[in-house]
Amino acid sequence: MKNIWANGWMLLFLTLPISAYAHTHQDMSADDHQSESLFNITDTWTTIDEKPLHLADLNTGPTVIAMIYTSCQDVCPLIVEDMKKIERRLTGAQADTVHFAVFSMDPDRDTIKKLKDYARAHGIDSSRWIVARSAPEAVRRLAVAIGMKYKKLKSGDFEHSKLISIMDQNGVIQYQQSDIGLDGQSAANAIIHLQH
Amino acid sequence: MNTGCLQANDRRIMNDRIVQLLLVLWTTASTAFAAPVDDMVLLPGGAYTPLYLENEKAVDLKDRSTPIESFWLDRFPVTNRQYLEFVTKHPEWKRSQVKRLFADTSYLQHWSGDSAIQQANELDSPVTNVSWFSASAYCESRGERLPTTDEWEYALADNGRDAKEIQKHALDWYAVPNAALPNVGSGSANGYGIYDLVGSIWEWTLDFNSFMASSDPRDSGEKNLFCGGGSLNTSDPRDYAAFMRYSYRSSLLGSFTGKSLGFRCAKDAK
Repeated sequence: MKNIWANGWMLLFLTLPISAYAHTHQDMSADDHQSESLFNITDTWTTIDEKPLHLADLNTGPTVIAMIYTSCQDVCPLIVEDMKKIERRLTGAQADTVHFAVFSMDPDRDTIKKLKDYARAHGIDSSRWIVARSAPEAVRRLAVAIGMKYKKLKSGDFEHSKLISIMDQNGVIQYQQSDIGLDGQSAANAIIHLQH
Repeated sequence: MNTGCLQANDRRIMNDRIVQLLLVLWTTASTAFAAPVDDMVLLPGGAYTPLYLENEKAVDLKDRSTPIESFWLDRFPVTNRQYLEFVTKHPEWKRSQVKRLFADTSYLQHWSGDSAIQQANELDSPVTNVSWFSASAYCESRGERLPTTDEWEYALADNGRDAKEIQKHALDWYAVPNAALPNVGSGSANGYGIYDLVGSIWEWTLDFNSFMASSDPRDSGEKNLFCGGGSLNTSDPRDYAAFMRYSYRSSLLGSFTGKSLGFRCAKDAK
């Protein structure tokens, strides 16, 4: 009983920001919609293919977003695993229109080469996946925009939220999960919903 | 005996000279450390112990202090007048044009229009109802940035001067309902020559989103600093004022605006 309540409260807490989106969503004009889009962030990222990337380039389908750093031992591999879990829940056709975007929060240490190695090691170097880095200001802006907390520790490692966000093809975040184990199916459902 | 007198005189003269020398040094040092340039103050580097500690094991007290490099900080919070000039030059930050991603619907709500401030006497009071994104854009337009939380707290700590007074002043202010905002610089400067860090508005920091507060206080292994025993993990459990600032910052999102929330800019010394 206690656990059910605890989970209930956690779910309530986690879904609140999202239901706020959902609630206002219906009577939102196209302009409003665009107004809260992450595409308004114009920073340039560099992908492991050494190509420039703007968030607005991710406009061909839903995007699953997470921020990680490659020297992260504990949480980050789990985040990437959770993203792969979502990918596996989709059919090939469904997954092909989805971007899986991993942004580095560690501009000092995550060079393109390191990110490339990381992508290969974690099997996230297919065309569905984007792994990118940018300047500290861009990292901070994206983190703030998606509501991710992070702090660089003296050791060079980071304390950070474990956060997975899904934005629609207009750049608006429609789904987020943090901290507790990701429910791959509900994330996949959110994507499928966005595709229709 | 004479010799003794002479020695005493010599010593006095020496002492006077030392005092003079120290005065010269002090003056030089204080101008070097607090020279106003564009209404910014250069703060000397130093060390500062944040209220909330890193999530690392076995940190002894010495390791807890965070080095702060010398940096420039605005003497005053940014005013309505200055912010008005900014939106005039950068219309994308006007109330009617700002993107919802960057500022919520209360953005600049105390202004009477896109480029107008209702009360002329508000021109030199701190601008509020600004978001983190808009505050950052303002500072970037000046080639600057927001101060980090550590820098901001370091400036407030004022090298330990009147620490108790600062805490008390902050708490007294947090305890009263919002009054009309006074002009910037109405209070007194701290030892660095910085005004209004507390007593008028809350201020955005560059990394306001760096304080980790877990959604579930029962998560173990993390230093979640809420009631009771949790506060024992703070560097100074008595500093309730600092606790309030860290809690407040952690409650913010980048697009939030508030009628008591403003900012000032900083930049690297280099």
